[in-house]
Amino acid sequence: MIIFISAMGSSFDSQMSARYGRAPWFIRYDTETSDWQAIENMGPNLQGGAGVSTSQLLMDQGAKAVISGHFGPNAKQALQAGGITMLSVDADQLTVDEAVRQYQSGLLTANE
Amino acid sequence: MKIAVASGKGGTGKTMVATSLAATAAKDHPVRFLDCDVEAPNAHLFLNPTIERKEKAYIAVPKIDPAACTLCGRCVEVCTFHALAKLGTQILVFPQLCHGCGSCTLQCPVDAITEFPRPIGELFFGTTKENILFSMGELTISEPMPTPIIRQLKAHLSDEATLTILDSPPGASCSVVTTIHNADFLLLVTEPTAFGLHDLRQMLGIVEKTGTPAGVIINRAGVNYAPLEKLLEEQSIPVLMRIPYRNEIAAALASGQLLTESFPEYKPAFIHLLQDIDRLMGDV
Repeated sequence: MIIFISAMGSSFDSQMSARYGRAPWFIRYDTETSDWQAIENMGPNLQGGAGVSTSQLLMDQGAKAVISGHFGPNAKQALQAGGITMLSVDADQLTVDEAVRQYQSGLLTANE
Repeated sequence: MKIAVASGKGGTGKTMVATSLAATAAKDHPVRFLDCDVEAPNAHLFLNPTIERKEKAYIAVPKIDPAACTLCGRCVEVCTFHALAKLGTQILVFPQLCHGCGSCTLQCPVDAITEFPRPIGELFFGTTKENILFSMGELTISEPMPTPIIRQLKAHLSDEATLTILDSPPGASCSVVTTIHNADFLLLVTEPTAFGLHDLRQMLGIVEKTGTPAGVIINRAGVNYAPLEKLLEEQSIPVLMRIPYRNEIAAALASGQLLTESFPEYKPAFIHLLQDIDRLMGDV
């Protein structure tokens, strides 16, 4: 399964980004193969519509779940419509690899 | 003739200049006044119009017929504002992100998109005691898109007034460009501060593109701010008026009085301003 984690940088041990739509990077992680890939997000450069544009990126990349800090109202609506599970964490306290470990240990719960 | 009053930086005195200019000109010409600062209109506080009519303002947003839509995603591709997303088996519309440009409707290969009007504010029309034909737009709180209201407000321009004054919103973005579009002259109000100068430069950048003849009014003058004087000299932008920094002016404006009403000694300056603009227009 493909999950996305919002990140401040392009490495697997990057600090997570607390913002979803305007996260500078996403780490695309395959839970079956443990393969990962950094994808640059255009959200920070947009004047508006960052949440929607980022959700379109995740949708096109086949994401089934996304771990981030805060999801805006448009992002929530788009992700729900696309059937992508949202998981909010205290992103300032976590790196991407830590978030992946917590996710795989079942420590994270999906947002309502 | 249409004169737009703009500034870039907020709080430099656009409305102060626009309202006193309108009141002065109304003695000799039929004047129309448009408050295009639809996010925070305030010219009515100075001109006190009697409002005689109001109408709703709309933006045209897309509606997708799921039966006709083939999910090709062309509308999502052409939307610069990310107001559309293709999510699974549906195209989702985010009306608050839509600028009403109509690209999606035009580009849809199967005509699955129709547009429907979404109310986003109101227009008000009235007359002042000086017989100024007054109009203003007001964007509903929480609505993010001012430009459709400004366009709808400007659609009411007619020939009954020989002089139209457009009070622009602050900033140097879409709403300002929409306001000053097709204006015959642009009055740029600035102040001798780094902020005033920075935003004046942005406005001059727009003027360079539109080619609108422009002049500058320096408000809160008195502090000699060399970088501002240097820029105006370098670019040969005429300074049409200097309004001094005075506490009493701020106090009078804060109580809702026109500059020319509380300080009649400025009336000749506004009469001169109109003559100067006429002269500059003649030079073009």
